[in-house]
Amino acid sequence: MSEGAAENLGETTRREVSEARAARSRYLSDLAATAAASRAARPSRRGLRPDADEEPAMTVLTDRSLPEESRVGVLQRLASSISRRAEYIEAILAIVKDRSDSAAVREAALQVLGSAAFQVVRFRPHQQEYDDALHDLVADPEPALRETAVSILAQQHDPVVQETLLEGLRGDGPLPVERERAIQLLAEDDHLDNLPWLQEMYRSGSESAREEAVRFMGSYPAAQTTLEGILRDKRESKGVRQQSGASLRYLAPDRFEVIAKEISTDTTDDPEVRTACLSALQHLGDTDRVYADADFVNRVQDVSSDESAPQVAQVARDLLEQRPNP
Amino acid sequence: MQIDITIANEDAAGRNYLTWAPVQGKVRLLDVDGGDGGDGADPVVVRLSNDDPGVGGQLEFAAARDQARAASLDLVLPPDGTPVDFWVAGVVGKASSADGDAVIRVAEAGVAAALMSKAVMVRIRKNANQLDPAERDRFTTALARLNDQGAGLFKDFREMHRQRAALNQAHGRAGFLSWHRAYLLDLERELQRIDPSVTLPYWRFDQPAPNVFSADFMGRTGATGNLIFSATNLLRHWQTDGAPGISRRPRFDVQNAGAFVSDEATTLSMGGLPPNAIFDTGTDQDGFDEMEGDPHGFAHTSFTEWIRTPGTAPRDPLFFLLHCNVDRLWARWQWFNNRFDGTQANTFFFRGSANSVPATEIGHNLLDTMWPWNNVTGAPRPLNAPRTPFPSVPTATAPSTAPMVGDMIDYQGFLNAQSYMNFAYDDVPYGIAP
Repeated sequence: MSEGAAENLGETTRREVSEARAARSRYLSDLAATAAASRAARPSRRGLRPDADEEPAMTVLTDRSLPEESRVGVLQRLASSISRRAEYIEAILAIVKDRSDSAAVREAALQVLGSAAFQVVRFRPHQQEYDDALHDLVADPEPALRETAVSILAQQHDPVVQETLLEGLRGDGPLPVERERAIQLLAEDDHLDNLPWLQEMYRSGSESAREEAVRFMGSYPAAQTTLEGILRDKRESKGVRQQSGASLRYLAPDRFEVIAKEISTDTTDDPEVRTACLSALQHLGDTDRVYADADFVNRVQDVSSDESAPQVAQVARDLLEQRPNP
Repeated sequence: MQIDITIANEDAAGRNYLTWAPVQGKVRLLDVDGGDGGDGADPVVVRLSNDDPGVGGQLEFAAARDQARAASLDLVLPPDGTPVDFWVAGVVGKASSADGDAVIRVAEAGVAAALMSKAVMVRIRKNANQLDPAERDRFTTALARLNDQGAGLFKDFREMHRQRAALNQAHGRAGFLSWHRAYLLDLERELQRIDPSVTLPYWRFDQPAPNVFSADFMGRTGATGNLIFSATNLLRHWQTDGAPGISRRPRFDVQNAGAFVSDEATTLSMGGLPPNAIFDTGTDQDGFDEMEGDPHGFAHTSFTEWIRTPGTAPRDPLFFLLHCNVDRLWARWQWFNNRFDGTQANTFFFRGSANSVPATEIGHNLLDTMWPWNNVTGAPRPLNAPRTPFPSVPTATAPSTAPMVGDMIDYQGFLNAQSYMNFAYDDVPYGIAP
């Protein structure tokens, strides 16, 4: 970089950073004014006078009479500093748990807690209360909060939320999320017997739902035959077939190799599915074995000059070009 | 006349991968016993320059490490073959896009024909949204091969970021940025074993990045939250924890908006303005390290599914692009505020080890070695160490096989050439902001 260009970059950064600091100062000044007004109004409203030393952020955050934007603004703009302090974490947890508070503020508060939870060491004293709050949210009347909480807990294979989802799917209780979503979230734990639910999702779902069902089936050896059938099924959508190939390759790489070789050189099959099969054969797994199959390599040679399927031909040429020297 | 040119830190195949940091080279006459440069002949003046200033990665040269570099450099080569030193670095804004596309031309001064040329790569971490298709595909292919459907080395990287004890080593204290810098570099070096032209790209999460969230790259989200990949994108075969695929749902409009994070200038303003900006205060406020919450934490919580929680986040390959941007922000902050000297309080507050006074949690003090590369196991460290030692590579001189927190600070070797780690960002120059 020329010295001039470096100077320009330095100057631009200096200007932008100064503006950001100034914007923060203005925000804090406005926040102080909002907090002062809130404090002034509070005695007549509630008969409570907040501590004169209370920080403006805390005053605004906890004053439910203020507009949502003001309180969400505190959560978004001051998240980094306040989420490091115990009294704010406690206040934010209280907001999340309070079903009578604004949904928008509670959602913003939940995001701040999620962000703070990444600061594992610092968040340790609050982790249990956060987990408890998430469990409470599973039955919250607010769908977005329910969805977020169920999703977080399901990723952690939480047994309580798994049981809630199972009961809902069986019709033994309310489902906190849509049925398809419940199957997806349950499927995050492959130690559970999810195959019947995934088969249901595959039978009844949209194309994208079928793709998800097929993806999760890859955790279950009993699904191998189903996956083979889907991969070969030319009536199925190309996206579902490609995902089926990836799942089959995980469960039974040898079977995948056999079928992928057939599909990739079958000029009557879908070019995209053929391309996906050929790419996987070229790059993943035991590629030496793929290249050692002289019959297959000969068929790829034919494919490489087949101009009716240019993308397949290109991948075929790549595969041949990267063939190791004998 | 025959010329030999060598550049330090070449790999086992004799290839050089440069960044913005100056690296030492040597050039000499080979045919010392005859011909134009033989005994008794005059010295030869040669000019080092870019072979094609309009194509590929571009380089600049200097006769000494601390001298201003220029697009060409004249050197006087002794006729006895004694090598002459020079320094070479990539030109910011002119990184390579392919291996060997930065070509050093050596010509006799005033003569048009080249005596020789040497191809190198200016290998730089770039904005993922701006990669060309070939760069993007090399990256996804290398990453998919490292994962190898769950059987590959990637599983060690996943294990490093799973259990509570492991997460304690890397989050919630001042070592957060150092640990993740090492984590990314370790992964990048494994990717470069597969394809040496690959670097980790960064997802600039405060800007729209439609190319990142596309079927050709990190996957496009379908109607059921499924990720859609193009036919040649091998990330379709991604597998972690015994489960195929990737679970990720953005909460923001990936086509037109950035994530729910503060903008870059706000992040760079954390800790104050130069020359008084501070990294951390030893308390819970007012340092650049607050960025662990926003933008870092908010970038994670801009999604649901794996990337949203610490124990599952690295199952999603997007994690590494997100953290590459976190690391870039630290690098930019360092450049802007001149924070490369770990012995200074403004660069790092806890400058001792976990046994010092004052000290913070183990693994977060400047002189603490970092798990797992240090192979120290058992409380308060985790029970096992999935990645040890830290991989050494010929293209870099640092970090050591058991890096300390402080070792990750001077990553370009600005204060100490031996700290050079052979990575850099496309918009973070070498040295400090003028």
